[in-house]
Amino acid sequence: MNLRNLAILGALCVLLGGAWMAQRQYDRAPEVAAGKWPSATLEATDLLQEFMDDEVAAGKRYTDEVIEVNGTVRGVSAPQGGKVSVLLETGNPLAAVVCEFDQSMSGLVPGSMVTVKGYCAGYNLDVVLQRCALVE
Amino acid sequence: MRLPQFVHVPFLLLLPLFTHGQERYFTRMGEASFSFTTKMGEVQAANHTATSMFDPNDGSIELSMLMKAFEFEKAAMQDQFNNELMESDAWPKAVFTGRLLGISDGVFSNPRKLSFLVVGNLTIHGTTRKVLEHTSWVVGEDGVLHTECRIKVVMDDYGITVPTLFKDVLPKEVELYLALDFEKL
Repeated sequence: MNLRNLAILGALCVLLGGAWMAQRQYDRAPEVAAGKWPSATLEATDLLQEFMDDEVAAGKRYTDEVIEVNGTVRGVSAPQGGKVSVLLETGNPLAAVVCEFDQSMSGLVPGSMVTVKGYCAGYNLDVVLQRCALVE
Repeated sequence: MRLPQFVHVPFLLLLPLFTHGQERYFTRMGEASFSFTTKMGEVQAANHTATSMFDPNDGSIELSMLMKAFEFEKAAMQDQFNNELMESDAWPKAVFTGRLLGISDGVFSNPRKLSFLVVGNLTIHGTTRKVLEHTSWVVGEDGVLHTECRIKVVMDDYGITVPTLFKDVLPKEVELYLALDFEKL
């Protein structure tokens, strides 16, 4: 193999490698909170209150961030779609911190204390956390 | 009509105003989803945290959902949806406010299947458009109201600019599917 062919082969490898890496990056699933360091840790009641006091400011502070929330389980629901939602008490009967999990949370019962971390999607009467993980 | 950010008043703040007649219905686990096919494969997105309130006395219905609560299979799609199409930081919510047409007293009192037209205003990307769609309803034995609706969303109508790179890939319109299980408040 002469030098020219070697150069072509090298360029081809670089191109294929680049394409493979780009495809891998494109196919990457949304990140989950497990293993991520939270940017803030707070009580569920305080999180809701911050959004109710100033939705814009709280949105800028927390949306897209991994946050860790302590609270009491109000309920667990598993609607269609495979997601499991754990509702945390906020002291406001009409609002909750909704934590979405991708797996079963059958061990959680109303009244139990939990610490959850998840990606904050914003405030929609409830504060919504997604791709959550329980903190042991 | 282009609305300023966060102009929508959370409808639960209005709850004390509704104090007569049948009980109202509420859900915080409403499903909103859409899908379309591209040359690169099927794209699906779903949001399971749409909140909605329904008043059977006058048929009024309000629905609100976070754009960033739509989840895609791929992170890149989710980023493109929020950052390049919906500009979700500027317009974080989609809101529908409307009313069922032709409902009569007590129509939701007994288990049955029903269908109604719903008319109202849908705000996406800060732009409001009138919509008129069919809705199907199931009144369950347990009193839960299940409703489904499909709303056609034309990108241009809502000022959603598709980047040149995706012009030949993305459809000009998508069908937003809504499925809500209302429980009494």
